[in-house]
Amino acid sequence: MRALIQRLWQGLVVVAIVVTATFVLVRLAPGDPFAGALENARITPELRAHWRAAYGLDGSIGTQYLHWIASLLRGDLGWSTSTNQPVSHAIAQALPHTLWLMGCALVLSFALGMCLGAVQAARHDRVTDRGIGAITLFGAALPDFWLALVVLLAGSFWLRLFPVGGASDPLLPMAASTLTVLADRLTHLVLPVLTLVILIAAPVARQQRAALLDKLGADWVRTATAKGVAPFAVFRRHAWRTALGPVVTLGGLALPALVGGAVFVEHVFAWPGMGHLAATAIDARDYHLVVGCVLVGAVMVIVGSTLADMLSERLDPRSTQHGDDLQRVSA
Amino acid sequence: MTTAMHSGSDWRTVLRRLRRDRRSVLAAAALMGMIVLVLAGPLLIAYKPYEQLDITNLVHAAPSASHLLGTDAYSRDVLSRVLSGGRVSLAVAISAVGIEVLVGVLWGLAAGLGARWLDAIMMRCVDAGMSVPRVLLLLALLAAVPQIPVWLLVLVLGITGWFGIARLVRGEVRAIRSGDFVLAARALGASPPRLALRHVLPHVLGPVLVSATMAIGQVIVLEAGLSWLGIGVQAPQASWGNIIKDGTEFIASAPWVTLGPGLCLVLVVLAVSALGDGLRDALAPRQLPRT
Repeated sequence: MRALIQRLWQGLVVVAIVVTATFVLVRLAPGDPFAGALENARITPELRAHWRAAYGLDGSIGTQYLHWIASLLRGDLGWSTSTNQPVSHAIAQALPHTLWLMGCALVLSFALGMCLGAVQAARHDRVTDRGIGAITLFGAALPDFWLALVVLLAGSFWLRLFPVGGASDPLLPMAASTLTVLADRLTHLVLPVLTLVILIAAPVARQQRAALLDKLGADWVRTATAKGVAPFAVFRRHAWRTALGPVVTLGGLALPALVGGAVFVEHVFAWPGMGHLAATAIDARDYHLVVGCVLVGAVMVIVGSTLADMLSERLDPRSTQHGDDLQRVSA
Repeated sequence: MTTAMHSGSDWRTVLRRLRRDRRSVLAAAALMGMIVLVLAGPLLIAYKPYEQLDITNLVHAAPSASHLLGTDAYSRDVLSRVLSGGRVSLAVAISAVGIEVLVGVLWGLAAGLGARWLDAIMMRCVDAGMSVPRVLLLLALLAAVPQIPVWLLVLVLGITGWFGIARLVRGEVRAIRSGDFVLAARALGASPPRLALRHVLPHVLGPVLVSATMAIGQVIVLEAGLSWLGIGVQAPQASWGNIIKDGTEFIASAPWVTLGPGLCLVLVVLAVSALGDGLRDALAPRQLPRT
C-alpha cells in the first residue's frame, strides 16, 4: 500500500514536470494564437488585446501559469480552431478509439511475442531460434509509419481484403444488424492492429528470449531439474514464470515508443484516435489541440508505465509465499 | 551494465573481435556502402534530384533501366532523390546523435560525480524526459514553427534524445566513482572537470558508443516520420521521410516512390542495430546471456 502511494506520488511529480514543460513550450512558440493565425487587417489591436484578456494570455508569466494550471484542472485545454470545439471535446471523442486499438494490439502482440521468445529459448541456438531471431531483428528495424503504409498497400490495394481506413463504414445502413456492424468494425481493425502487432511483438520476443535464457541458467532451475521435475514443468513453472517480470517491465519501458508509433499508424489508417487527431492538428497548425494531445499522451504513458511497474513487482515470485520457498531453496 | 567491465579490453582488442564477427562486418559494409553511394550520388545518376524531367509523359513512370526506382508525381527521378535525401537524412541523424551524446555524457558525468541532492534532481528530470513519448515532445516543439530549418530539426532531435545516455553514463560513473584510480587521481589533486573527462570518461565510452550506434537508427526513423508528417525536412530539400510523404498520396498507383526510400531506411536501421549488437558483444564478451 505504501509502495502504491509512493508510485502515485512519483507519477504525479513527473506529470507536474510535464505540464510545466508544456506550458513553457506554449510560451516558447513564436507569437501567440492571436498574432499569427488570425493575420487580418480588420482585427484591431484593441480586439486582440480583448481576446488575450479573455483567453488568459495577458498579465505576467506567473499569473498566466496559474491560469493555465487552473483551467487544466477544470479540464479546459483551450479551443481547437480546426475542429471548432473545445480541445477536451475533440480528445474525449478520440481517446476511446485509441484505447481500443492499443488494447487489442497490446494483448495480441504480447501473446505472439512471448510465444515466439519462449519457442526461441526452448530451441536455443537451433534453426528455429535463428530463424525467428532474424525475423524479429527485421521486425524491430521497420520504421513505424512506413510499415503502416506497406501494410495498407498490401492489404487494401493489392489483396483488396480490407478497407483503407477509418474505424467503421460511414455508409453502413442505420438498420444494419449487430452482426454486420461488428464485422464492419473488425475488418477496419485488422490492418492497424496487424501493423502494431508486428512493431510491438518483435521487441517483446527478443526480451522474452533473453529473460528466459537468463532464468534457464539459474540455480533454482538446475535444482528443479535435479530433483526430477518434468522438463516442460521446469520450463513453464521455474523459468518462464520468473521471466515474466522483466518482460512486463519492458512493456512499461516500451510504452512511450508505442504511443509514438501509434501516432503514425493511426494517421496512415485514418483511425479516428489521438494520434490521428494530433497529426491532423499539426497539418492545420491547431496548436492548442496539439498540446492537448501531447499532454494526454504523456499522462497515458505515465499511468501505463506505473501500472506495468506495479504489475511486474507483483509477478516477481519472491513477492508470494510460494516464491519465498523457491528463494530459500535457491539460496 | 552496472560495472565498467570493458575497462580491461582496449580498443584494438575490440576492433579485432568486431572483425571476427561476420554479422558486424556485414553491417559495417552495408552502412559504408550506403554512405559512399549517397555521397557519390551526383556522380552516378545523370538526373538532378529537383529536375522535372518531362511533366507530360514521365509522371509516375514505373521502375525501368533508365529510372531504377521510377519517377514521382513531378516526373523527378526517384533514385536521384533518394540519394540526395539520404545525404540529408544521414547527416541529420549523425549530427543529432552527436548532440545526444554530448548532452547525455555531460549530464550523466555531472549527476554521477556530483553531490547526492544534485544527482537526485538531475535524475528526476531524466525520468520525466524518458516517460514522455519522444514523438509527442517533438510534435509539441515543432508544430508551431512555420518553416523548420534543418539545424533546428537537428537541435530538437538532439535535445529530446539524450535521457537514456545520461542515465547509462550516470549508472556507470556511480559504479566506478569509488574505484582506486579515481581516488588516486583525486588525491593527486585532479580538478573535477579533469577527473571527469580524463579519468572517468574513458571508462564509460564503450557503452555510450553502443547506444550512440543504436540511436542513429532511432533518430533516422524519427526524422523520416517527422518529415513524413510535414514537420521535418522541408519540401524543396529531399529527405527519405518527405519522399515517402510525396509517395503516400499516390501509394496505390505509384508504390515505388514509397517503397524505395523506405527500404533504404530499413537497411540503415538493420545495419546500425546489428553493428550496435556486435559492438556490445565485442566490448563485453563475458556479459552475454549465452547467445
